[in-house]
Amino acid sequence: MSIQADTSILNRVDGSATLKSGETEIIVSVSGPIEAKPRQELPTTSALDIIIRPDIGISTTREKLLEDKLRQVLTPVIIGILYPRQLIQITIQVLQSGEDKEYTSKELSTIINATYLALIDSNIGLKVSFAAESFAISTDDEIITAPSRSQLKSSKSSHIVSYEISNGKATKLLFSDSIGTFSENQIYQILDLAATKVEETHQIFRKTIQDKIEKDFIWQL
Amino acid sequence: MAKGIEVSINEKSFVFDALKQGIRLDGRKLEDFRNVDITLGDEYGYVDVRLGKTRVVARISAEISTPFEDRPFEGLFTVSTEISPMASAMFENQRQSDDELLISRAIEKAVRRSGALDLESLCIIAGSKCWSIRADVHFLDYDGGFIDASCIAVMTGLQHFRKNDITVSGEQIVIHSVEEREPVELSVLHVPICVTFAFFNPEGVEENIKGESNNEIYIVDTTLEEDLLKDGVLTVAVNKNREVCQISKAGGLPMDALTLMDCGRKAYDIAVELTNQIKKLLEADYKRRNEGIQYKLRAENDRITVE
Amino acid sequence: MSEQPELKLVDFPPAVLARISPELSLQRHLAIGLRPNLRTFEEFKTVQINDGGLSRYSSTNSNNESDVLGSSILRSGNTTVICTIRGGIIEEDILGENNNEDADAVNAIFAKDKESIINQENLIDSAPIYPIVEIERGRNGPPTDEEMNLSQKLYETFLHSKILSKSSLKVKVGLKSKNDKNEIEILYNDENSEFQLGPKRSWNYILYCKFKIFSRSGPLFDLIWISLISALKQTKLPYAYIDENAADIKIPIKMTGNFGTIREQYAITCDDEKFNNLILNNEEIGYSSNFGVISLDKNVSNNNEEDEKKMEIDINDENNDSILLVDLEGEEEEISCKNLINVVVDSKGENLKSLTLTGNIDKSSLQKAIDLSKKRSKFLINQEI
Repeated sequence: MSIQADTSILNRVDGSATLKSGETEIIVSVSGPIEAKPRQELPTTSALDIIIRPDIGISTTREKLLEDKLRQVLTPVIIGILYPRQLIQITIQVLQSGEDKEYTSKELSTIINATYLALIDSNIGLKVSFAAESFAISTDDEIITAPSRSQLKSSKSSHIVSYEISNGKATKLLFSDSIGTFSENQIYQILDLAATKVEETHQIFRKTIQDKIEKDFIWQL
Repeated sequence: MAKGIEVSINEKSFVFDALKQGIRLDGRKLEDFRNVDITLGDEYGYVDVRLGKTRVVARISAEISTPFEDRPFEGLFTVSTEISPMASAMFENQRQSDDELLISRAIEKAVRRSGALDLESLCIIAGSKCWSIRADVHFLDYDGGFIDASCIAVMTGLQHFRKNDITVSGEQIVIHSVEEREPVELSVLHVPICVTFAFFNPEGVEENIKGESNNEIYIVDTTLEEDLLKDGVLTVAVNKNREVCQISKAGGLPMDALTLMDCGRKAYDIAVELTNQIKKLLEADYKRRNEGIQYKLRAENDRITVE
Repeated sequence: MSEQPELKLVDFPPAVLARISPELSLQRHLAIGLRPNLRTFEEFKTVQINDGGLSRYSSTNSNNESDVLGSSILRSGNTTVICTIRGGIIEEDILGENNNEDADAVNAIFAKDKESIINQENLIDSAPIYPIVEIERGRNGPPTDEEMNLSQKLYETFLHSKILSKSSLKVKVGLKSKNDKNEIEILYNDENSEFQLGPKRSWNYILYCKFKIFSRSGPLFDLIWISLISALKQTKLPYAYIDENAADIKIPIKMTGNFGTIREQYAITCDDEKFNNLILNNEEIGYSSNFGVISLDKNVSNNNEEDEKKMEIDINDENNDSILLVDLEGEEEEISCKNLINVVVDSKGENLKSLTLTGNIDKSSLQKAIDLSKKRSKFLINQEI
């Protein structure tokens, strides 16, 4: 599967990244820390405003649930106490979802990865790196990493796994969501497989971040 | 909440002084349109338009639905233009500001109400089945010129888009997948292109009767900074048949009627240029897609499947 | 400089401490092997459920005019969930190749490979339900995030679990007409096999389910899931017929100019008395359980050295200082538990239908959680709720 990533692509936000992984393409912007509305304000930590917009149509509860899942991933990794009473606004635009409306695993994994890059680009404090990967189990019980649209359609179950990564190693599980029909053993296999896959993905992101730092104006004379 | 960007007095006088000398901050002449960079996606109907720093993505999609009862012979066409805070923090999520409303209305008028898309060709079974075409415009980055950029994006998207071929027999419709039958293009009657002019009155003196001492300036395709300083705005939508599809000048600085004629002519030149650019791009894309298999999939070849 | 500032210990009653420092309060409870709600770590809340008598087919309901097709009322602790299922009928877009006068000819040319394409799709036969979740807060307003997330999660989990087949939602339309003796009778397909209805159309039921939740005290997905399954098990679908007198109306569509067209419309009426049970794929039905994993704060437990011994008994895995809490309840547990597990299993307990892990879950906790939820699901199935 091909992963193409780029950062600092938008001008009016603090951080942005675009990520194309297989058929799915996502663009993420981060503005923050910015002034929060009184209703959003949290006294000891930063508020997170996550907006996910679908590629076709208006956003529905499907996007709401994705927002909630992304929040579960981001809340533990963003160092909120650095920005008390402030807001971090994350806007995610799905450019190509690469899957049918009934599924969300490919979108969510790409969104998590793209958000990671955009947060780095915006210089928001992160406790740890993270990455995600999507999986599917085919009808003949084979685990497919990063399934294609048609593979996903014919699969028995779809999965998304996200790990924290420190020193290039997947350390702690951050989030995992599985839906469909699958056995207990398969889920352990997927969790183990995911650990190695996210490490591979992370190596690609390290390269992206290296490129980003090289082109950042602060280093240039 | 971070609100819109404000331009300081220094910046303002700097911009004005430059304009008086016929120079703009990004080095363009007053009547230059920014370079339009259009990228077509792998999927049909995916268009990415960059106009300077402004970036707009349009997605065209189609589904089968029921026509309006009072218009049984027409298909549906909706343009969705919702601006997210991604473009700029001045746009709030799910709360339409006045700017946003104006942009949406202008696109709606230029693209939908000018009859650019032949709605009758979208009819499948009169009164019960028709195609519903949807254009989702995603605003990614904002540096002025949203109307112009999104108009280009939607019009290119409509021409690039292919809907699945169908067979109607009796009451049933067979929808053919892309693999099965070459998808068909939409019937686009003409290509309106929006060109936005901004008017400046650098002297700050308003004349009711436009005379010799008239120093008002008009420029084409403003950046955000110029956009914030403008005194009046005019949007002209024309196609290359020299037909004006829309003119909107909502208040602002009163302009000489002859200037409007001038603007119309300028808009026409720009529209022709852009239409040709789009046409070339679409032709190149068609060639790329059909390289080699072009002849095998022709309808007259009786649908030979590609080995 | 001479005076040392004096620190006084402040005592709070447990209820106050729970509010101002929920995490500390929970840790204190856990250190003595108890949960604030007085359950043990691996004890589920009991669930009581009945059909609620809201359905028009319910024996306890005298109101036959009700449009509710199935219902359930669930009580668990303080929480009450009321689930009602209503139905609607929509016309199905039939694929041309399935049902057509010249279907064979059309298929031969256009849809050669159609079957293989359709069979590849996993969800093609799974029917969705459309849930609305309302958590009563004593005020009106737009749905909260929790309500939207719950209903979407319910929709997705239900669809992917394949509990309901599209075929069981098919409306077998009958025809109301006058027979030879000039009496009005309704003919149904299944009674009279020779009878074939004219229009080559088909209709489907769609099911809407509405949840009302009172006094929320913990994660709600489990409870909603149980009440949905229970309500669906009692759901009955009415027979429906086309009134011959009202059928085949030709409606001219007004148009300026010379055009004119007709459109057929059928008025479908539901039979007042006759009904079918809704058929569910029973082997796919399992129940949902939620868990929290929390690590013990050593500082808290060290303060009470006497209690430490008690604690050791309650925790099976002595090397691991994280505790698996079953069926979270109350503010303290919800705030403190950052690591959550949600499991939905199938009827036999062999396969899982949905698994959501949030936060750092170690394998042993996960194994234990899956094991427990399988046991619980079996228990609930045997209980025949």
